[in-house]
Amino acid sequence: MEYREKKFVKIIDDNIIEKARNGDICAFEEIFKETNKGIYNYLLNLSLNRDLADDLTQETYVRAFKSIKSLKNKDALISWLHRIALNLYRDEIKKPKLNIQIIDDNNENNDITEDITDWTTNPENIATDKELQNVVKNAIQSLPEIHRAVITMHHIEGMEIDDIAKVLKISNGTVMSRLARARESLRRKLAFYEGKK
Amino acid sequence: MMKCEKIQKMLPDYSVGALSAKKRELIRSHIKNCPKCMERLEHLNKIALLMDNIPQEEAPSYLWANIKEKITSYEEESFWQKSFKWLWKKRIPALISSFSVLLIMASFYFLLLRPSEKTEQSIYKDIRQHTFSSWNNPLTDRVVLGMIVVENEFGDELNETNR
Amino acid sequence: MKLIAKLALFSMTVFLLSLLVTSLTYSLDNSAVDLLKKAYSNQRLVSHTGMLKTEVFLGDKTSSSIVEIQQKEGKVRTNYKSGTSSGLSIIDDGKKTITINSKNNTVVVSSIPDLSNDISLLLLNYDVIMKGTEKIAERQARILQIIPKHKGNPSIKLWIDIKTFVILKREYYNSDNTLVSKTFYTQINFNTKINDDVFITPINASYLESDLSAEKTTKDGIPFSIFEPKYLPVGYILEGYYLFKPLCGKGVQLRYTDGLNSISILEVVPPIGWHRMGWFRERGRGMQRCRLIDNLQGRIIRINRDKLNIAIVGDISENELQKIADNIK
Repeated sequence: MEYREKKFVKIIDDNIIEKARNGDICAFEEIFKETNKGIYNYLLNLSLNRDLADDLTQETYVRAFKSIKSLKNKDALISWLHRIALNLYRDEIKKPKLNIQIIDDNNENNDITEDITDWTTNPENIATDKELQNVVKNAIQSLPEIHRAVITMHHIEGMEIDDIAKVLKISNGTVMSRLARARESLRRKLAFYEGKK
Repeated sequence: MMKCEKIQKMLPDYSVGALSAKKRELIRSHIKNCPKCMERLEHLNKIALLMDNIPQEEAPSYLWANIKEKITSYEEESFWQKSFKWLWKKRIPALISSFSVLLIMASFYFLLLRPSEKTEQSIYKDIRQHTFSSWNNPLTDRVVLGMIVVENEFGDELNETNR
Repeated sequence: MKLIAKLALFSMTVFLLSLLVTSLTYSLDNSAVDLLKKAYSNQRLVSHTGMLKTEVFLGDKTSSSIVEIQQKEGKVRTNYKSGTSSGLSIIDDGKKTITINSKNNTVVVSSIPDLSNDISLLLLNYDVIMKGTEKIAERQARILQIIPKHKGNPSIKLWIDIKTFVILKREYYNSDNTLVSKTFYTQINFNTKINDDVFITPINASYLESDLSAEKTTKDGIPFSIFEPKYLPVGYILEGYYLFKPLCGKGVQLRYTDGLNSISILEVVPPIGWHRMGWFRERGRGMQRCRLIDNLQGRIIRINRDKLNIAIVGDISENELQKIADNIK
């Protein structure tokens, strides 16, 4: 495994989950407080639309509350929430929508590698890491959905490969290969800037 | 010696930690002496680091209020469903007779006494038409007006005093 | 001699003082009116974005909503973010409203009735008083109270931004002087750029017909004979006749205004043969059925006169409403 700083992922108290299972809304609120940032950012990166992310986040927790009894393993809470969110997102994009064109988002090759120069006018400005980070953030948004999903969960939310595999119902190996493809795509897009540094 | 092209194809998987011990060794020994491939690997690692540090956005503050509203009404529903189930199990004969009485009374009410749905709809419509006519007054609160004018938004807020 | 001189001096000072005071209050009143005039004309003009909170108090129930506003060049888009109306967006360009319901993907376009922008009628029936300043959404605002001269009418309190005259907060007190709604900006930004496509109507949505009308007409243009009120509360004058399509039959709305508040008399002639069935389905066997209902927009009385179904709606006192109903000929 590669070495990297592990992100501090808070672990929900077993008591709280048990209470929430019995319908305790206050306990469920605790779960919401601990996890909503991750779920919101996940949905934001998937849908690239704030209103949709708002709605889907709400729907995710409502659905979670209704079916919390089906949560078998307390340790799988985070993956379970992500799975609900992902399913809701996938259902949502199947519906006919106002003004939004749906591109086949599962094709790994559907990648906009041109338009590198669109992001800034002046490469000399990309001097600080902060600015480079913004460029990376924008670049992630142009990747296909399956790459965005793994990147958000692994890098931004700090989830373990095992948990990500559970969410997407794929093998650990597939998760890692998607991460690798995504990294390579980003590298190609940012090569222009890397060269200038 | 492995060609740089082949090595570079494997670098993304290497940076993610995916390859077998044998392949990792192969790559490690190549990049020791290849600054070009070393640089490529550094870029990949740098991108990973940048992504690790991307801050998460805060979710909007009104989300919980909406969620709570929906799950509270769901909770209340469940209670009634539960009590209905209990009653059904325990008091079948008495329940059936009282239920049929209720049914007769209810049908009487709904067919003869309760105002027709059309009247209710007409009332809402009158209110909406009246409300909407003041839309262009600069001093009116269009936010509240919007809520009233959209079909039956405040329908259940009507408080009837019948004469 | 000395006493008379003292008295004369005293009365002169009193006179001058009272003159000063009246002129001061007069100028204060005048500036309140000026402020109101500026607020009146500026509402749609100032571009801004912001978040509004609305609280509605009905009986003992309070409901609250959070709303996002985007206003640019006379067009406003209101996005309801929470509460019962969440998912709703209304685009208002001054001529029509486009209501977008993102939950069921429907759009309803309604024409807005034209109203005159003259506050002279309002000034006849309401006092406009300045009540100090307060900070709303981190902006300095002047507080204006608009109080009815005749009892049994609603009043409103406005917080007007000192620099741009945008109304930052509104409180609406109904004809019983109870606070019914409160709407205020929690954030407002006058410098953001608003993309024009915020005001574009969506393409792939189902367009539904609006059932709200703004078709103004003259008395001659009304296709049936109507009843007109012989009694109206003080200060109200006829604003206009509007044709509208009720659930069944033909209808006309007689709208009366006192400058701020309005009363509508909606008269509907049902299609031939309906009234017999309607009579059976309505409660009671008599021809005259009265129902008085309290709601957010005041009160409504429904009566029957001849073959017409008449509804009188308005935020006025129960007595007044009943008086109008009793005097319709």
